[in-house]
Amino acid sequence: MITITHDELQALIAGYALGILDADEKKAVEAHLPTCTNCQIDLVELRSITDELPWSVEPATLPVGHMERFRDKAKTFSPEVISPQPQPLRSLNLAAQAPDESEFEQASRKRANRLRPGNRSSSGWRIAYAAALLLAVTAGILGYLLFDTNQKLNSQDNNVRTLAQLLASPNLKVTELQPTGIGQKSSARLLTDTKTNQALLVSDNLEALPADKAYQVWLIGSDGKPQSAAVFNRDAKDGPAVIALAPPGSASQYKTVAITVEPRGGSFPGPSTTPFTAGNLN
Amino acid sequence: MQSQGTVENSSGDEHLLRRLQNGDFEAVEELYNRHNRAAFGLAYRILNDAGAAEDAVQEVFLRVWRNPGSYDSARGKFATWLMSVVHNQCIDQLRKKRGQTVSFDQEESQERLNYLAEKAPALEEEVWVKLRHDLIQQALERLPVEQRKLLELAFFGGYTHNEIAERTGQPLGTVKSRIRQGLLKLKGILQSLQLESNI
Repeated sequence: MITITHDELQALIAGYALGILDADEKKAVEAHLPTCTNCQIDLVELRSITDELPWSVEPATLPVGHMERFRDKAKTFSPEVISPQPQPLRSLNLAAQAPDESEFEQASRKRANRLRPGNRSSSGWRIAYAAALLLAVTAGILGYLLFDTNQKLNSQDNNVRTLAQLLASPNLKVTELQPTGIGQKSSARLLTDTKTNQALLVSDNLEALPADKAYQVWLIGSDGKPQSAAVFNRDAKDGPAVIALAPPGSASQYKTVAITVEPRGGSFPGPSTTPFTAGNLN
Repeated sequence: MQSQGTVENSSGDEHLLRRLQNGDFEAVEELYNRHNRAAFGLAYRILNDAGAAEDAVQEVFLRVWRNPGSYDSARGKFATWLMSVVHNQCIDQLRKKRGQTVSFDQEESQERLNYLAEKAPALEEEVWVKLRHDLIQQALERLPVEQRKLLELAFFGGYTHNEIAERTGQPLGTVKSRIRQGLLKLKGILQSLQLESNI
């Protein structure tokens, strides 16, 4: 297996979503994904688009006699009759803590079924399609994160429960934070529910800090004033960070999110250092 | 009742998949009826061969019939998973055939397809499939030409990054970043189109 850096791996995620990697690259990405929450989210986001590409092609009718040929081929197979398989998410401890996502899926199915032909206008169909697209993305994110990283996230039960709720939300917004300087590698994702104001910061490459230091998350509005949204420490033994934010007021009023390194306990009223990673919320 | 396209009828598909687990062949026939046109359209677009495309599509459904557990619900709804597997199946076949001369005259291919069809292309399409098609098609048309070209080479041509770089004469790093940017831009365009449709 080839040895490549995280940046190089991240650059391959789009190719992985498209199915165009060579064998070595594919192996490297598949070995990396279970260890990297950011890349998992990246993949789910990109797959939400590659999953749409097949629909750009017009459906077409198969040649005459195709059903008979299909039945003939099927006769050569005897199916493996198996008892109903448990859903992957429900077999995990963490899934028991997650909200009943089937309620959300049921609601979406009911919504989609109400929009069957003859019941809605064209714009109603588009709205339903948009909702279904978002459901696919969030369900996929939940599936990947819970399935692959539940052991690492078990120690942050409350935040994981919030994460599960957030990922199942139809109002999910994902903001990517980028390094602000050359040579800096840390990145993170901010997941927000635009309706309930829940917000979580997710990152798995924040470096451990000395005992007298802490990370501080800032939300900055159009007035340029940073508001502290969270202060947290990182130990060398910590796994991915899943940090709940408590933004003053509605999250939708802020334009920028940024993270700084501050003295333990945080810096008030504002940051004492330059942000090392930031993202635009709008 | 036979459907003409692919129906985003997740509760119906799930019910059929449960029946399939108990060896109910009518369930896989119904799934095949529901989804064969969309799957065949994709397969034909990639392989440009009606026989090969039919084989690829039927192979995927037979895989589901043979082993219902092969459907991975973590990949989304059945229709989404199905199209992804059909795509992979066709790209694998295409790569194996690479190097053989294949004519690619879209108009001629479409005429041949129509001649072979059981009946004229249906005038009534499932509304869901049509809207989904229209939306993604509009989004692709709004994508910068270079990004769209690379995405088509990747998704429908099955070329690797290196092969695309060779074919287009672009640096490998540029190909990788343009493909990624193209997908993300496509996502933004789709979201804008969805917002526009809500006005």
